[in-house]
Amino acid sequence: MFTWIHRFGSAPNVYRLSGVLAPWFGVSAALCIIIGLYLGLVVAPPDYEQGESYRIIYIHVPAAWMSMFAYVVMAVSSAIFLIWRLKVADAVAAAVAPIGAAFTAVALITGSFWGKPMWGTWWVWDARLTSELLLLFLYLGYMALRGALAAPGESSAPSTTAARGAAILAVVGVINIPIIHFSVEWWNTLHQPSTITRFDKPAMHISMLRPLLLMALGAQLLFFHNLTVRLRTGLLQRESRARWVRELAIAQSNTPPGDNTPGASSTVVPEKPEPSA
Amino acid sequence: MSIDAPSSGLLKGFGSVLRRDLLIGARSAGQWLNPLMFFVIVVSLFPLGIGPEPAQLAAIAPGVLWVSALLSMLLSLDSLFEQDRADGVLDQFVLGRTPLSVVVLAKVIAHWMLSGLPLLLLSPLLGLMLGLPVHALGTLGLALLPGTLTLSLIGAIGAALTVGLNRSGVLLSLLVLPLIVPVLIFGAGSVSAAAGGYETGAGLSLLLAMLMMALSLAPLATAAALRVGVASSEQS
Amino acid sequence: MTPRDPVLACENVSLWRGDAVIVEQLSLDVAAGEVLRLEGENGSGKTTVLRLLAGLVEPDEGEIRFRGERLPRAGRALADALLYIGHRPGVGGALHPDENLSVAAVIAGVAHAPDRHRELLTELGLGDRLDLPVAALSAGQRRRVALARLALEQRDIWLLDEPLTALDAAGLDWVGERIREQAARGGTVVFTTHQMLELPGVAVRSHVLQTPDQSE
Repeated sequence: MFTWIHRFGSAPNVYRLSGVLAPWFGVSAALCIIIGLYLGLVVAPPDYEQGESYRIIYIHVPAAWMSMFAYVVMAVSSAIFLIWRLKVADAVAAAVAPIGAAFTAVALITGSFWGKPMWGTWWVWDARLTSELLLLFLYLGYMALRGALAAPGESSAPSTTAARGAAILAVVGVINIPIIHFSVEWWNTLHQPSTITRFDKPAMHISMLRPLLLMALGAQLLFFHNLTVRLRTGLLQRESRARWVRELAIAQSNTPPGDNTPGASSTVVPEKPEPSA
Repeated sequence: MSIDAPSSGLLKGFGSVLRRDLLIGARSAGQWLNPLMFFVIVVSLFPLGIGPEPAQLAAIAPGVLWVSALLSMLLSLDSLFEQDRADGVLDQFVLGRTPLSVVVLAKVIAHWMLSGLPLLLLSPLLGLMLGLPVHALGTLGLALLPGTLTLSLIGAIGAALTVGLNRSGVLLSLLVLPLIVPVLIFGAGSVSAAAGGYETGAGLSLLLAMLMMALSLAPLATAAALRVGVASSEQS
Repeated sequence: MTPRDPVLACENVSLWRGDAVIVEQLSLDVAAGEVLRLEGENGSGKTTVLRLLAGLVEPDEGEIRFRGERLPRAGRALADALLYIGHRPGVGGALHPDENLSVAAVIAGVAHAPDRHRELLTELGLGDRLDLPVAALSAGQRRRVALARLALEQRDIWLLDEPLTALDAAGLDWVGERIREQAARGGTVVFTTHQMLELPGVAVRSHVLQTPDQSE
């Protein structure tokens, strides 16, 4: 089991596998999101209570789900890194953090948009929005710690110690998230008895539910697309001293002359993706 | 005062470190006095910013007291391991036979006795100044006791993660504040409930539960973080 | 290296800090009864090598072995056999010299003897400084407080970072005497220094650390 993990989790393997998977994730995410948006924004009927404004759930709910999911992925890979010292697991955690933060930000912004027509204000201290805000703080803290622990002038490879510090924080954070969530719920019922139950209507019509599920699937695929692309970049950066990266670079630069255009070299170092929802 | 320790083993190490840190605290009054003064000043700023209306002040008093207490404790957490690192004592703690998590627990308890306990003793006075009803003062103390101790424990993780970093104070707050939101919610919630004449048992029990959890897990995480900090802190 | 039974050895150890090479492909070992002096210019990684040997820092590549067993697995056993006095000597500034020694003794898990501590500190010329916080002492006096542990803790391996810095002639003699005793009883000493310390009757082996080439 142990050796299997290490062989499978070796950086070149993961790099290659991510390269194969990334385009598939990207294409299927685009398909899901395009069809989901069409069904959700055009085909689905308006809500009889909320009119057209409910449609923001097609962005908000998948983003909120993914914001939680991303933190769990980050914490689990951090734990794997701490236990088995698997460097690829740290690369995964480092790659996930900004994606998760982006999903969290999207959930917050769309949540506040939704609040305007519903409550007449841009922000309400609703339990879910507050939890989401605290989750954003956790992501920002994680990324700030990673940045601070990096050695001065260190642009690429994080030292093992920096990685371990960040991993400890991620694990501590994931233990705390349920407690934070529970306490915020408690606080919310204590201070403002819930007036409107938000999206959890007992029976959502199938024409509204179908696009929601499709968008959720799309967000999930988008997450994995971003993750695989970011992971490849991260692995190249942190393994820049390793032989497989040098061989890769040599193989790329040995392509026939004329092929050595900026376009060709961009396949070696994929551009950093902007996670968006 | 000497640092003789009773009995053997873990207790001996625990007692020795606890006494050491209390002794250091006793010799530098600023260490425990400054956070206390910060607490008093921050609490006094609220009426100035909001207005002297007694009913309004009484309504926000639990929240103000709790937020100020958390901030002033956070202020002193910054230095929890920093002096030991600069002196090289942290290396000795890491290599020593006393388990690092026991050393951490002793240091955290000492930190709490020097920062949390004075706050706790002063808080009824400030509560009265903000118009908190007298019958809520007992709950204030009962809630602050486990609450500040939990903060010391969780804050120690943040202090260990940022040990050796320049200007770590702001980063420490960024790491620790989201993690202690539950303490704030249940702590301030209990005091509000007591002020309004409601049942406070649930909030206080939850605070105690969180303290138990922090007591068992936080020293381990802090010790792990300190090993990381020691490994990265020094270069030739 | 000569074929023998090393107590502490590192093989092809490399350490980076970001893109900077701190230690590159270092191999060295020490045996029981041996005194090893690490030499090298500033930036050659002397302090880091000692911290690697103490198990405080983990290498990025290569391995460190204590009595044949790899770190970090052997880390606990190594720490129990170790007396490490770092570049920062490990004395708390607000405490008195004997209070420092007491805490150090409890943490290190050795017998705690306040009378012995005062006796030793007097021997080191600190007899009239026992009731002052260490922060009020000179750099050399502070180092003496830390070095007093050489006479208090019986450990197989001593790792001493610049133990001679800021010491006067009497202090140098005292440390030299302790190192000779340690080697005579079969202990191991690894230390870094800029000074040439004469140790009559003790063979001191030198290892010169090369400053890593950052050009790569």
